[in-house]
Amino acid sequence: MFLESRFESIETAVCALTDLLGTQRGDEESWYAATSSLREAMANAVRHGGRGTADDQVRVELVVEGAEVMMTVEDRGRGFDVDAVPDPTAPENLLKSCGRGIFTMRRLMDSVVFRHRGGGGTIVQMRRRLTNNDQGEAS
Amino acid sequence: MKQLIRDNGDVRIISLSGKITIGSGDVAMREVITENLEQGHTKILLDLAGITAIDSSGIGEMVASYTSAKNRGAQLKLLNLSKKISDILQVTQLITVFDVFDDEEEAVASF
Repeated sequence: MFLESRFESIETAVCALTDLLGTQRGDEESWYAATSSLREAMANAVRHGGRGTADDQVRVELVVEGAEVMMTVEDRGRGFDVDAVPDPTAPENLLKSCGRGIFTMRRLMDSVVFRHRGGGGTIVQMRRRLTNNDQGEAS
Repeated sequence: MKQLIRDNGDVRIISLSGKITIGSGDVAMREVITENLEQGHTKILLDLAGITAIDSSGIGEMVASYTSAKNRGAQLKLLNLSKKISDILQVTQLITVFDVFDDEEEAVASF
């Protein structure tokens, strides 16, 4: 789905994920990890991934397959060097008011991959196994 | 995000409920804390029992509020963290920064 690049779209994406996971959302821990990580990825896409135009959009793909949730968030911003993001737990960064989003995603998900999008932008792909979940469905 | 403000002795207790996430509660939380600091309150206890979701922006605003309080010679402490919030503070190592309590009277006595 394509969403407007605005903070209100974060809840739209989270609601879509909650609907998709539905009764087969696995344990509470997995559900929390997936929704929290989607919030962080969406927040980064909206905050840093726009070009400042009225038609900025974020593409979101949510898939539950087997016992795994896969989420892709794609923006059209300038992109960034993920390896250059400072460690928020380093003593000199501990009291900074920002910079914990990617760290949080990596702690909550089994896999978080950042790729540059051709033509500009960033693609974030996240995966996590849904424990206590034996059925699968894709969307 | 909703807020309820009361005093226990000379400690200002700000009870928050709902979400502290980007664009939905993060700025409101900072504003209510700043407002109380500007009113001269130097002992602020943030009760997070009613918080249903918090993200890195919410955590960031909490850190900014902590720093702001400290710079004014005031103290900001936390009460009633859910397991999720407690886990976030653990992994981000902010648990070493904040004073955290499960009991209000114990928290009040600590100032």
